[in-house]
Amino acid sequence: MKKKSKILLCAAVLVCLALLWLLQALLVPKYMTRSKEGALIGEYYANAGGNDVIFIGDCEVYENFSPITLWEQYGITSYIRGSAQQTIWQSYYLMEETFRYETPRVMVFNVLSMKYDTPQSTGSSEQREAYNRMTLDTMRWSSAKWNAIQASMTQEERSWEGEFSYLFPLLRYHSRWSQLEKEDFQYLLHRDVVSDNGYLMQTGVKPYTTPHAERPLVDYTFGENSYAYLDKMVQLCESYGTQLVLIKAPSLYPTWWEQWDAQIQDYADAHNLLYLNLLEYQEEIGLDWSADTYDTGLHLNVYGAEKLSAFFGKILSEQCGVPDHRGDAQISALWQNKADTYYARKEAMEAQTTN
Amino acid sequence: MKKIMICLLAVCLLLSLAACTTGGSESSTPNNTNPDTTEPGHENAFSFTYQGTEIRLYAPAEPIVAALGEPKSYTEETSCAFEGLDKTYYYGSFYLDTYPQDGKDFVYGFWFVDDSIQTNEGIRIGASKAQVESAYGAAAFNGANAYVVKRDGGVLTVILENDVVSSIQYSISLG
Amino acid sequence: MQIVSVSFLLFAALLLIAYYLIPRKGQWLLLLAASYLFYLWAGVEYLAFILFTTLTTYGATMLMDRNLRKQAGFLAENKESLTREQRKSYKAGVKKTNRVFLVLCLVMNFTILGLCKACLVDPLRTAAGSGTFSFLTLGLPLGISFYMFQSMGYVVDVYRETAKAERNPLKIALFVSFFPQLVQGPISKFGQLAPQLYAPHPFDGRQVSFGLQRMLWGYFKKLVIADRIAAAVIALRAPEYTGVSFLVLTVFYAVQIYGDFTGGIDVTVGLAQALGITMPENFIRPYFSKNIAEYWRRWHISLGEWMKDYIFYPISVSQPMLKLSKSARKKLGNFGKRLPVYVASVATWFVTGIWHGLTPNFVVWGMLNCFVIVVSEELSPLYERFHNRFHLKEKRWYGGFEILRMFLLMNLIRACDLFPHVGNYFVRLGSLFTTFNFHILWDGTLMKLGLTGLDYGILAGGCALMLAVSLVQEKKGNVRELLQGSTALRYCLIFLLLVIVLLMGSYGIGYNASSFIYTGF
Repeated sequence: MKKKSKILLCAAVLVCLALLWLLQALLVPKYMTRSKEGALIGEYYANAGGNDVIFIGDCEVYENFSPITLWEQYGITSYIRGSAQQTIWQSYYLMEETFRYETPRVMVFNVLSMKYDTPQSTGSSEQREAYNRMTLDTMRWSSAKWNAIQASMTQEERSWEGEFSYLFPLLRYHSRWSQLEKEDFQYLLHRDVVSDNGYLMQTGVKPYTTPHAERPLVDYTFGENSYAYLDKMVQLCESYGTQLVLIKAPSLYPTWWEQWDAQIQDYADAHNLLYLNLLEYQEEIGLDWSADTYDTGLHLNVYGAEKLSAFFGKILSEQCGVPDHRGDAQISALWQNKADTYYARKEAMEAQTTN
Repeated sequence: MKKIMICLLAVCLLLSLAACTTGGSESSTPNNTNPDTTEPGHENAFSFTYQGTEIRLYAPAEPIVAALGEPKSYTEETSCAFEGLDKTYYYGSFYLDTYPQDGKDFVYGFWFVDDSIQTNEGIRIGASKAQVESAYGAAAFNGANAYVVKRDGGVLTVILENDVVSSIQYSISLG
Repeated sequence: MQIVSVSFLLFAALLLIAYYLIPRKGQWLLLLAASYLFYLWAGVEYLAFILFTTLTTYGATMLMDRNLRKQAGFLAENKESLTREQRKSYKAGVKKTNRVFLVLCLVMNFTILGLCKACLVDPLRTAAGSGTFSFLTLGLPLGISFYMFQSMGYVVDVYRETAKAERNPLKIALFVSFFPQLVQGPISKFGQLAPQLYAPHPFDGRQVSFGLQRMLWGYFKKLVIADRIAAAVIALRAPEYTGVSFLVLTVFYAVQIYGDFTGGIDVTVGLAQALGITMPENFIRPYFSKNIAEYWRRWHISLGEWMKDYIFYPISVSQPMLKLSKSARKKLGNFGKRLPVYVASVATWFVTGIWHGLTPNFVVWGMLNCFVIVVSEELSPLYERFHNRFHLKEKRWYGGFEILRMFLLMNLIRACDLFPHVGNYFVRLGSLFTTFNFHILWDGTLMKLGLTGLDYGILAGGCALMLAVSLVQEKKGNVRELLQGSTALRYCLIFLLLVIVLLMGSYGIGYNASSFIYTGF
């Protein structure tokens, strides 16, 4: 009898946990129709392994580079681990996490986030939280995730409550039950894939016409914390024998100050890294700002991204020695599939844009 | 002796009780949030007046933009993942930028680009370090090249180059 | 560590597991370690305060105990040779010495408490209020009013020889610092609590399960009800809410404080129960009281008992009071006989009032209570005749009327808490007789208090559930016992309650869909 009741209790606890898990699955935002960026980080795990190049960074990577183009023109296998307003500490821990799944030949890091030295400096607390959620919520449980959570909190935000709610998002979204939408039920147990190997496609065109003005800064020196994470990236990549390439995507805004450029160049020289300020290669890339951007020069659309990828792929294969896998039937078949999805998506989106 | 002790004890007990509050009982309810004295938003935030139009941080942007007339240039900046746009208006002497909230735009900040306009304290681009210091006090100096004044959720930054004002900027400060 | 926090739950879970795994002899030491850890969590600088109280409590009781033992030995040794007077005078001598230790200990501790309260910021109050809590200011030591009152009660008990002094300093340390009650009581008596703290507790699945269930119920009351309605209570304190709005405020506040305080006590008592320790009840469904005396026997019981034992009783039997009684009886007859009791009541309620807060409104609050108590005591013969004349006591509806009357009356008195400026309170109270704005109940005013229709729905459901549970407890006893019969139903109800607390509790940032869509600076 006693044994029976013990078994019953265990069964009840398991059922209870399963139901809570289901409840959590229902309540978390799905990012399927709005703010699709929130779904990006979680999509990596199904594609982990076999990537020779990993891009890490904010919207300047996930909207500007197309892995499909890299594959088609150079046979390069790549994935973009980008997320909205990804900070350098998040980038570092995403890098650390990536190495648990695979060891790429090249790690490409977009250096714009060097400008944010501390969590405080990245925005208002609400905005910060929303962006942190989009990067951290879908990361799988690991010490890298935990450290990324810790690093993303300001001193005042640090609390067990806050940090736990990234591990158990139910604690964060518990009150969403009154705002559930159709997509919450539709995507209860599965998600659509919103990106092409981390690339979030945009097909609209909104030409660049006027320069975007920005306030001059008091101090152009990157912060200590930013440099500390950059140092950690260098060491991490070194320990895995992976080449770290620093880039600044050719987005016209936010401004990439020449003082910043000089600092990164100095850093790259000192650490023997390849640094490419792609803003300086606009002509070689063939960027046409009246056609290749969907938001007046902040991000590229798919046409711009394809041009940029064609240019950057050359550097990856020629300067970094990333191999061409097009001869491998198995990999080719896999990537053919990805390409088919990509073109289907592009067609559907173009149809939508023109309508 | 006994009486003195009892008196002493009574005084101590009263003293202690007089100041006594407890976490969980009635007094734990937020007595301090007295709605009679709640401070409303940012009515004293930084502002400056341009051709009769007052431009104040946090203020709704629509009437200000309407009053200022056609800008010399105008740009929009998307932010990753969010809908809504940050907007920047250029009026020749200064830039004005706005942020969206709940479907409306509000003043995020403004910064001066020529010496035809001045701050409420009479500082303009080209002013000397001494002038800035007399206007904003030595305490505002950051020790290197700028004076930073924070007030009511806003921040004024005056940047110097070779001890001469090169930039004057106002913006809301991030919390 | 707040009792409503992930850290507290984790802490409690780890403690429970360790508590039943280690040898039972060591359980009380584990409790001591846990209590100090809990205390350290609040800040290492506060350790000095609790150590001071522990050491003075221990020192004073040990000195008194030594004298008492000496006295017992002396009296036993000289049983034959001493006359009754000699024994009496020896005892009086010992008592006098002990009184010095007692008073010294009380003076030192209450001075510290008084200074702390006068000079330090109470983090609980500030955090709940303006949010301008500065980390530079040393906050009020955690639970200082509770552990100090509890310890001083023990010192007095030893002096009165109603409790035997504990000679192990570590055990005293545990009695003083036992962590579940540090946050909001109850204030336990040594004789009731201490033996349980030190006793070994074998794992009793039923006790643990009941304790955890009670914690869950406490979280429900606090998170779903009290913390949700809090916004409306704050809003309704604005000056424009008078008349019927004020009446609404008193009812809302009754709901909030009941959920908050009894919920917190449920968590405390539940955790202690899971540890095998039975704590005294601090509330027995007070809103079912039919008169004020009954109400105060059912609300914040441990504080009332403390005040009765250590303030009311000593005053009413003190020499001056006895003298007063004698002379008043001669002049005023029966009323004179009751006068010392009333004087002691006034003193007790004055102290109880300022115990709740330094501001004058709490004194007024205490005096209002005292006034109602004295008046109803004086009028009780009249009431009795009235009741007997119409046989009202036998009628059920009259019982209901009495309960409702008491509920509303106590609500009105309690609302005094909310207005540090007493004048504001009386203005609101007066408006009840001048402003009959019943329309606020349906004209949308209630929707402007920071609560949505959905919130009101949850609150109504939550209050209905609390009421139903209270009725069952009142009529049939322990709900958990009743549920023991049906396993399936019990599991379902517990799970349901857990889900309700998780989903409808007011905790965390709260999801605001718009902040994920628009940029919000």
